[in-house]
Amino acid sequence: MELVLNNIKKSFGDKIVLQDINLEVEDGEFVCILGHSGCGKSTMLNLIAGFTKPDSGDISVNRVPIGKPNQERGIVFQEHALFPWYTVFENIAFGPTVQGKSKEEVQKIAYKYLQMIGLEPFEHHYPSELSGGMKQRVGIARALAGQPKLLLMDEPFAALDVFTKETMRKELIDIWNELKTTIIFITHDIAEAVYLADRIVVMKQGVIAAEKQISMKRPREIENSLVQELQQILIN
Amino acid sequence: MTMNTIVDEQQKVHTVSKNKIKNDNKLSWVPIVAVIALWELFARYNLQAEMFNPKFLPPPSIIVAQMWELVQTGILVKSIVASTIRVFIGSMIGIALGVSVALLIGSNRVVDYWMSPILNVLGPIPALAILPLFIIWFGIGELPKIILIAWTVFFPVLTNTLDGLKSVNSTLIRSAMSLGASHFQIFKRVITPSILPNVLAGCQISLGLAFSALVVSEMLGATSGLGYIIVDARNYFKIENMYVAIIVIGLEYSLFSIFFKWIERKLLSWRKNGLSAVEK
Repeated sequence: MELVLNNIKKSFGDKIVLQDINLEVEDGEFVCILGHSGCGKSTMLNLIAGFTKPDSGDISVNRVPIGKPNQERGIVFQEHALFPWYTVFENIAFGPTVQGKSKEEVQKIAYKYLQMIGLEPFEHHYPSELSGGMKQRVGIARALAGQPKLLLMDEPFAALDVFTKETMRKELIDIWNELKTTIIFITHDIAEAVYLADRIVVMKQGVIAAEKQISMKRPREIENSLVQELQQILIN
Repeated sequence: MTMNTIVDEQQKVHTVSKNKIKNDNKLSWVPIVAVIALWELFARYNLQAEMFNPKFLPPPSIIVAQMWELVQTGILVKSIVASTIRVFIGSMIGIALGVSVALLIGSNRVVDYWMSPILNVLGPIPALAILPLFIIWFGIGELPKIILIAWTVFFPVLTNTLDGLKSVNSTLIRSAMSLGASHFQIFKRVITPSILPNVLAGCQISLGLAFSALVVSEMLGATSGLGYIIVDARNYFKIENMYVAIIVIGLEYSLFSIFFKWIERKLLSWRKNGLSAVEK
């Protein structure tokens, strides 16, 4: 899987939200897009997902231009967006079911990801009965069960409390180590980006302001000079 | 998350569902029995005292006896069957049309442009004002009654379904798309369950309107039905019969309403009850 954004420009009315966006993401890479709210990072995610179209430039996956949203690009939303009328299990099984997989296959895939997030005791519960962290786990499992080539995560941990956030980051890294799915992770939290990413793309006012490769071994300590350096970039 | 916290959370979930069950069991028949007993006492007293014509307010025991008489002659059962069939068929047609038209309006701008203003003009007209016209057009058979009931049911279902369509969470549709769902699958698995609470609310509102449309249509030009019993009782001054019909209408409405609530609970079991938000 290789994602390429070539010279993307996007505006809403007169307001230019993104311009001169050039980005290449390699197979299995974990990229964090870091920026203030309103810097265009969510717009970028919507473009990659296919929910909106760029004014100019093109986006391709494995050299094929992307079309409408499909299972190739899975998404985890900040507000988890679970189907409230489906149980945990049915939510996770949604992707394989609508993709027309056989019953046994659906069961197999859904259980695999249910186990991965450790929520087997809750398989028959509805989302409204779960805590925030559990909901987001289900959101991640549901996106993964769709077996995307690329996982887009839109500030998935922003609404969680500090402690849950920390466990979720660790778990995400574990999952990523196991599956090696390409992940694009949007966040406004510098420490989070440093903890998670192979590469951080810093966005400012609709353009890419900096890119940082992080070769630090995982699991990482979050306190370090890189956080301060990124802080400087974002503030200036 | 450690296993400990998971077990903890699980216990919390169980307590919540237990509380829900406890709140549902309430004694609602005590006040009803009390009122009937008072009514009986007062009406019996009035039979002797004659503060006003005792025929105007017969005691419940006499009404029940009269009800039994009507059952034996077969009139009551026949009327209940006739009325039930009318209100059922009329409601089904109204609901089906209301939901379908709402879906058409919601999915097609041209349909929306042409239909919405017309429906907005027709909607507020009280159905009962149109009944005489329907009788002239369609005669005094079953047709005008069923059309009238369908008409009254149609509008609340339509507007509620449209409201539901407007409030479908777009993020859920996006989720479904990015998991590979087709248009039809999105309709079936996202839009339908999203609007279901609204459709059912529309049906609930319509139920009362459907019953008044039923009774009035049976009062004007009918030879059977509960509304007909009332008119007939007035013509022959059989006031007990009026009470019988009124009570049966009330009972039947309640039965329909309970049936609806039951369906609602079945279909919307995933919804959290807002009343259980705070423990009392």
